[in-house]
Amino acid sequence: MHPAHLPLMVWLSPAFPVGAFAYSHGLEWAFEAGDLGDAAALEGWLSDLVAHGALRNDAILLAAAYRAVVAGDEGTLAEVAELSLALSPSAERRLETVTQGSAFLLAIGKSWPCAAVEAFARATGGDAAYPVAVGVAAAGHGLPLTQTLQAYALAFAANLVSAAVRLGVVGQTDGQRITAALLPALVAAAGEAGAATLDDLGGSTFRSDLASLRHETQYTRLFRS
Amino acid sequence: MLMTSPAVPGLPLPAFVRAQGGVRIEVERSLRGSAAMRVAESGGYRVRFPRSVLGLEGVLINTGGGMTGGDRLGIDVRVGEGAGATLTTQAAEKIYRSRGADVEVAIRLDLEAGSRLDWLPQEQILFDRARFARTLDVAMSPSASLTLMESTVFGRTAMGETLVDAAFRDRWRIRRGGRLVLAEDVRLEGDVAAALARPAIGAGARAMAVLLHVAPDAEARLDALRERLEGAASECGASAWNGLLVARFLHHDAAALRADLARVLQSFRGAPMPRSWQT
Repeated sequence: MHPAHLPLMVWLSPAFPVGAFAYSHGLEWAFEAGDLGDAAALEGWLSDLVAHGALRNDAILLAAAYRAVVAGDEGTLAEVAELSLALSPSAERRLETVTQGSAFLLAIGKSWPCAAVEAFARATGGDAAYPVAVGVAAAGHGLPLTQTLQAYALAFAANLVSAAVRLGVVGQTDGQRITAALLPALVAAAGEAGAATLDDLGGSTFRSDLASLRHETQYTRLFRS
Repeated sequence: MLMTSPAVPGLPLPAFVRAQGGVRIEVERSLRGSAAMRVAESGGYRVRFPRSVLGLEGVLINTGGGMTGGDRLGIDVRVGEGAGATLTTQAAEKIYRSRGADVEVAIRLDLEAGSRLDWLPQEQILFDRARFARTLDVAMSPSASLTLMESTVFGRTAMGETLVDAAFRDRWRIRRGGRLVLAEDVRLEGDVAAALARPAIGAGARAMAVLLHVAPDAEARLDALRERLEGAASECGASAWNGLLVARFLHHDAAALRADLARVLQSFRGAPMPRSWQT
C-alpha cells in the first residue's frame, strides 16, 4: 500500500471511534429467526448485502459524495447527503448510518481536519450518513476513490462478520474464512460503484430490511440494529 | 380471478403503436365535501368516482387490460388544501412480457396543506419477461396526511409461473415540506425467482408490499400498527421515524398477502376497503 493511503486503514479500522461494533444491520434478528444457521448461510446473507443490498448503495453514495467534493459541487453534495439518509428502510438502519457518519465527521474534524469535512459538517449540522462522511473526508484528503471504496466495503463486511462472531453464529476461524471469501465480491462492488451514478442505486435485500424492522421489538438484544 | 392471455403479436409493435397515456386528477374542497374538480384522461386510462358515503373515492381504470413493453403511463394527482380523497384501481395491473422495451409508469402525488390522500391501488403482477420501471414522486405539506399501499406479485402464482427473466425497478421519492424524507429504490433483474429464493432477499417470497403513512400522527400510530401485524400470515414488520410510519410485507402466496393487506388497512384506516378490492 502506498504510504499516502494509510489514513484509510486508520479511519476504517474497528478502532476508529464511530461505534461500528454496536450495529448488526439486522443480523441479530436474522440469527434469532433461524436464517443464519451455519457459516454458509452467513456468507450467503452477507454476499447479498454486498451485491444487492446496503453495501452496494453505500458504495454508490460514497463515490457520488467524493466526486461532488472534488468538483466543488455543493448542490450535488447536499443532494447526495439528503438522499443517503432518506434511503434508510427503518428507524434502526437510519440510526446505524447517521450515528456512525456523524461520529466519523466529528473524529475526522478533530484529529484529521480538512476544509472539505469542515464545510460539510457546517452545511449538514453534523447529521451525515456514514458512506457520505467517508467520501467527503477521503476527497478532502486527496485519497484515491477506488481504494477508499475498497476499504469501506471491507470494513462493512468485517464489522458484520465480527457481529456474527459475537452473536455466536460462527467462530473466529469461520468468520475470517468468510471475510476472505467475500473479498472478490467486495472489490467488484467497489469497482462498480466507482463507475456508477445515483441512477444506479437500488437493491432487493427485502428480508434483510425486514430483519431490521423486526429487530426493533426483539426481546433481548446485544446490538442497536 | 380470471386471467386472460395478452394478445402477444407475432412481431414486436413499433413503439409509437404502444399505449401512452395517463390520468390527471385535481381534488378540491367544496361546500359539499371534496370533489374532483378537474380530470384529464388519455390513452385508454380512465378514472371513475362511484357514489360513496365514505367521501371521494376514485377508481383508476386501464381499458387496455394490462401493460406491455413500450407502454407509458403517467398519473398525476393533486389534492388541494383541506381536501381528501381515496384512490384505487379497478383491477390488479398486469405487466405482460416485453420484447425489449420497459413499461414506464410515473406517478406524481401532490398533497397541499391539511389534505389527505389514501393511495391504495391493487397489486401489480409481473409476468415472466416483464420489464417494468416505475417512479413514484410525492410532494406533500407537513400538515397533509398520506396513506399509501403498494404491492407487487412476481409471476402469475396461481399458474405456478416464476420469473426466470424479468426487470423491476421502482424508485420512490417522498418529499415533505420540500425535504426528502424517504427514498426507496428497488432493483430486481434477471432470474428474479432465483433471487427471491435467497434468504436475505425473499426466502421464496412471491409477493411483497409496503404500507407507508406520512402524517403528523405517523409515529404515534406505530404501536397500534404493530399490534395489527401480529396476526398476519405474511412476514412483516413496522418502524417509525421522522414523521414516517412504514410496514413491509412478504409472502410466498399472493392471495394470502392481499388478505393481510386488506385486513391491516381496514383496521388502520377505520374504513372498509374500496369496493374494487372486495372481490
